[in-house]
This record gives sequence, structure tokens and C-alpha cells, in this order.
Amino acid sequence: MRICARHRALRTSTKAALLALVAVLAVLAAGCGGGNEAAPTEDTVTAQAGTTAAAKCPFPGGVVRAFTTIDLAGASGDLGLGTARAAKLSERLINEDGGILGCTFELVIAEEGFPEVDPCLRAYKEALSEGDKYAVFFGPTGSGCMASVTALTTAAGKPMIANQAADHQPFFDPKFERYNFHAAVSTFLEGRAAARFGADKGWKRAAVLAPNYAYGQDAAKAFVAYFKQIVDGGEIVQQQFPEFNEKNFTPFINAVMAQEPDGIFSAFFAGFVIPFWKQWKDGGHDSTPAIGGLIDTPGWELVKSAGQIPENSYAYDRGAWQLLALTPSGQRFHDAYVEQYGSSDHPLPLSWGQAFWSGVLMSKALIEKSESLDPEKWAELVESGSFTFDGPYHIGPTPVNPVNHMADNCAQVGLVGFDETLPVPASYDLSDFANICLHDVLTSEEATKLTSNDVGADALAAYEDAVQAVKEADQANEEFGRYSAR
Amino acid sequence: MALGTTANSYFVQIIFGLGSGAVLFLIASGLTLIFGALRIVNFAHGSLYMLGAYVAFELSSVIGYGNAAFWLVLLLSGVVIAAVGAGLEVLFFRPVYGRALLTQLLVTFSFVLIIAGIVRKVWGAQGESTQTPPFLQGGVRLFDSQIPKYQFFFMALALAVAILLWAILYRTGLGRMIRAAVSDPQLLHLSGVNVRLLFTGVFALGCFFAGIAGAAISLQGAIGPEIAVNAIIRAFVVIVLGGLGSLAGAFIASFVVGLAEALGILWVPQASLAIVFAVLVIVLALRPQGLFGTRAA
Repeated sequence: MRICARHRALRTSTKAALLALVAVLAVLAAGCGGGNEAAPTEDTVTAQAGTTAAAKCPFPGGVVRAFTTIDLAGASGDLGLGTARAAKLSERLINEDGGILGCTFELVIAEEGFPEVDPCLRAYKEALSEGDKYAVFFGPTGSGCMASVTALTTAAGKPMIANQAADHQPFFDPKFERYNFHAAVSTFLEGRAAARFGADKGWKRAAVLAPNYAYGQDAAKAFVAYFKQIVDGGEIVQQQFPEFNEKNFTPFINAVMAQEPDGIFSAFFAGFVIPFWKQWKDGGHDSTPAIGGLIDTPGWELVKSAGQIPENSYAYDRGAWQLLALTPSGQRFHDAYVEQYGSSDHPLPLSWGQAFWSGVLMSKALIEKSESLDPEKWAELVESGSFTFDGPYHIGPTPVNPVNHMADNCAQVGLVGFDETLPVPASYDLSDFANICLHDVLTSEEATKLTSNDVGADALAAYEDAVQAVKEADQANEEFGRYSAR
Repeated sequence: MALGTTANSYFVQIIFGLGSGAVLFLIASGLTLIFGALRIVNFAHGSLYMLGAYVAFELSSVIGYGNAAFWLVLLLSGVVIAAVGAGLEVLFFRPVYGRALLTQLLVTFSFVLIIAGIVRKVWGAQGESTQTPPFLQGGVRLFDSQIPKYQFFFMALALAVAILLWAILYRTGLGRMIRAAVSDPQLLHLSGVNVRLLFTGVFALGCFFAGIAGAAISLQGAIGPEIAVNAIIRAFVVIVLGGLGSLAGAFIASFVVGLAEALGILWVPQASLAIVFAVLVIVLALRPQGLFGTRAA
């Protein structure tokens, strides 16, 4: 059939133009596109603290000002909304407690424009160009921006506290910088926690199905390396990497299942787990356990019925609300969130929110314990090994690894359930659920091999003591402790 | 070659490749129809397909998820997107007919961004989970594997659309007018036919198939704004590979692309999409006009 008969001379140029545009689109789809022209818009969050607090503040202006970017209008806007809510809530809670050393805590948020990197970096550059206006820089949403922004903050002599993008690279060789601090759950920890969970289930032959972009590749690498390390005779029988944004997983599932693995690890993001589950189920693979991906609210909200969830479906999380609502500071944040937003479209705090809160608490502790805004003092404090802060991931104080400056936070892996009595019915079935912390999957000895930062034996010993203390505190809490990795 | 991959897994992979190819044809058929008749490169076609998926999602929530409702949703999604397409053609695309190719590309590409923005604003960036009608739930056991039923539905739908298009173009008066308009629109106009209206109709028909494709893809379990770009990349590969404006070429090329990608997943997991583009450049090197294209004068 041919319906085109005129303007044939145009064909060659048309084809060339088409191919060029298709190539541009392909690059955009791969998440490597050029600049988003949307100018970052600043939203200065209203300070909540009373003026009396500022009178005691040792810092100029009576304010400790922090900067971050959040993706409100971009591709992860739903996560951005929850994160922005968390940011505002964190600011309010800190100021309700009297601020930081009596100073008002003020957080300035710029639009990030994820997944574009340029607007994000531009926003940080502009903030850094304002000299000492900002004492604390929190990390961005996007991994691409996070990978580059620490070079800017370090060059400016400013601290960077990662509490959104979970990348571990700025904390390991060769990208480690002493002013980098990690207050969230890293991709490294997520991949390792999933490997540990699979190993505990007796998997010997695992397969990987991860989206083909930075996060998916990093999570897969962490899973693969650690699975081989901890499972005697462990084998990765197949790895598949669908393009980012792909939603037709059936050919990838078939390729993976052709190797008959004991279980699979996938690193899909919430919105992609739903079609994965459907196609997994329609393919009749329910009997094989599958850790389907990183799910969190609002991703859970996409699950409308129990029938959407295949049997033996697991997921992992960087701050499951069911668990973090049990810790003192996690519960405080959870309750405040539910009080303010419990009747909204997103009635529960997302783990990104808890991670953000963790970052704010870490910065508060660093400033208060060092009595300084100087990141060098913060680094010295952390590298003593004894620094802890009241983060939301533990019952007791959260240690921070002195070698890589990563908080000893925890990832969760568990069976996916559906309980209509919960505010969001899709959630973890706590009968098959584990809370796996950084200290469970990274020894101090291995940490020193991954990050060249010689802090000395005393610091490592102090850190080990802090880890032991928090393990005991966690396990002493009957409800929380039952999920701790053994 | 993936060692240890069984003949059965190859068989299953071929079925999946045909299923993907079928969806591609549903999208590419409208695109190639529009290009063939109107000579406009409609980059917004993938966005209309995505919009069709969201329209189907909304209609399903009103009409329901039963078998009969599904067919109604499928049809109505096509009709709604056809109406949207007709509106776009009349208001925005018609003025750029005959303008430089770059102008056409920019105008249609603008709508890629505009529609994506609207969808993100209305439905959010996270996507929506979708349901499957009872008759397409579950899978069919073939040899040692279970193939989702909707994969066969995609193939049947693509075949039906191909036959329908062929019948419209070659067995109806409308088809004769479309072909005449393609050959010499001025002569057709002089013979009393409203060519503008005819072109709007062709555009709407192409968009109708995009709407149907969008409704069909929701059977996979979820939709999101990103499906637009994924679709348009592959659809353009299909129409260039098949030969610009050739429906037969689009039909064959859709399945070539679907199979190349599916088998590429088995052979080179990290570069399956590269296999598709490798097929494209090899075919164009050997046959620059595409599989069913005619040489430029």
C-alpha cells in the first residue's frame, strides 16, 4: 500500500531531519538531555521560630539558613510534593524546638527541574555565589545533579548533606570529599540490603532486572557484588536493563526467567513496579520471589486492589512509614505530617520526607555539637567516630561512619501486602520484613577500603561502640527490634 | 548469544516481539497515514497516543472495567483523540502546510511539550495504574510458558487496523479521494472536493488510531507521561524503515522493530534498543528509501 506520491524530492532531507530528531528524543528519553530552560524559582519557606530565639544565637543575623533544590514541577513531581512538605515541616519542627543553638532555622527551596541537571546546578551555583548566606546545603533530588554538585560545594568550602538523592559515589573513592555527609539511605545500602534479604531466603541463583540509568545500574551493581560476596557459590544468572521509562517488561522478564533463578532483584521505581507486577503475574511467575523495586508513598497509592500484587512480591524502601513511625524522631515527624496532611491526597509521609528530616536533624546536631558553621569542624567531629544524632531510623542515637561520613541508616525489605484498614492499603506485610542497616552490610574494615580517609583506630573503635549502642537500643524495643537483621 | 537460553524462551520472546510490533503498528499506522497524505511530520503523534491512554483511564473509571465497557472505551478513546487531532490540525497544523520542514517540526514538537505539561498538571508525573477487562486477564499456556492474553489481543488489533485501513484506502470512495488528494490536490479541489476537509479527516483518522493504541497499551498495567516519547522514537524508526508514507512498509517494519528489540534483549541485554537502530541504519544503507519506499526522483 502506498498513499504518498508527491514531493519525493523532499524525502532525503525529511529522513535526515527525522533521524536527527529521533536521535535527540532518544537522548532525552535516556535522561541525558540538555538544559531545561525553566528558571529556578525560589520559595523561601516562612520561618516559624520566635524572635526570642534569635537573641541567643551566636551566628550573624540570628539565622541558620539552608539551601536545597526539590523537584516540584519535573518528572518526579509527586515525590517532590511530599519532599517539599517534609522540608517545610522539618523547618517548623526545628524552630518549634527553639531552632539551632537558639538561631532561627530557615530553609530556601529552589525548583530542580529533574531529570535535567543544568537548572539544578545553576540553582546551587547561584546559592553558592551568595557567600555566607547559606550555612548548610542539602542535596538535590536527582542523581545526575548530586554527582556534580559536591564538587561545587567543596570548592566553595561549604558542607553538603545528602538527604534526597541516595547516591553513594560522593562518599566512596574517588569522589569522596570531607565536607560531604550522607543522612539518607544510600543506593549502595539498598542494593546490599536486598542481597542480604535474598541470601537469608536461601537464594543461590539470582537475576537482576533494573532500569538502565544511574540509579538502576548502581542498585544492581551493589546487589550483584554483595550477593556474590556473601552467598557461597552465589551466582547472578542474568541481568537485564530495560530503558528508563520502559513499561513493557515482558520480553525482559522472559529473558530473566529463562535462566530459572531462585529469585530476582529489580530496581524499578514505584510507578514502574505496577506494570512490572501485572506482567510478572500474567506471565505466571508468581512462584518465584521477586524484589520488585523501590516502593514508597505515593507509589503505594497506585495499588488499588490486592489482586494487583503477585504472590511472593517483595519491595524495598528507604524509610518505610510502618517502621519509622516507631522511632522517637520518626514518630514525631510522622505524627506532625499526618496531623497536617492526613486528609490530603498523600496522607502518609514518604520515605524521602523522613530522609529529608534526617538531614535536617543531622545538620542541627553537627552545628550544635561543634558550635560552629565551619564544615571542617563538622568533619573533625564526625571523624572522631563518636558523633551521633537523633535520626528517624533508630530507636537510639544514629552513629555516623567516620570514614565515609554516612549515617548508619537502614533500608527495609519486605513482602508486599494489602490491608484496607491502613490509610494507604498497599504496604509491607510485617510478617516477612527486615530492617537492614549500614552496619549490617558494611564493616569498618571494608569501609576503609572503599573510602581513603584514614581516621585512625580510635575513631573506628568509637564508631563501633556507637553502633553497638544503637543496636542494643533498637533490639530493646520489642516492636521495632523484631525486624532488625540478625 | 545468551547461553543456556532455551528454544522455548526464544519462542516466547518472538511472541512478545510480535506483540510489541503490533502496538508499534497501531501508532505508526496513523503517523504514516498523516505523513503520506498531508506531508506533515507530526511529532505530537506520540503525545496523542499518550493522551489516548489517559482518556481511556478516565473513561474506564466512569464506564467500568467489564468486557463490553472495554470495547466502548477503546472506541471512545479513538474518537476523543480524533476530535483533539482534528482541532489541532485546523487551528495549528494547517497554517504550516507547505512551510519549511523545520517549521512543521517545531510546531508539532511544541505540542509534545504542551501535551506533556497538561498531562502532568492534570494527572501528575507519577502515572496511573490501569485495569484489564476480564477476557484479557491472565495468560495462555503455550509449550512451557504462559503468555499474557493481551499480547495476542495487540496482534489481532493491529491486523484488524491494517485490514481496515487497506479497505478504507482501496475499497471506498473516501480512499479514492485521499489517494487523489495525495497525487494532485489542486485537481481534486477543482473537481469540487473540499480538500481541506478531507485532510482534516485524514488527520483525525490517524489520530483515531493513536487513541486506540493508547487505550490498548493501558492493558499492560500502567500509563505515564513518558510513554509518549518512547512511542514516537520507535514509531519514527518504523516509518523510516518501512518507507515514508507506506502503510505496508509500516506494517512490516513494526514487526521487524518489535522482533529486533525482543531478540536483542536475549542477545545483548544492555543494548537491545541499539539493535533496533542497527537494523535501521543497515537497511537504510542498503535501501535508502526504506523497505517499501520509492526512490526519490
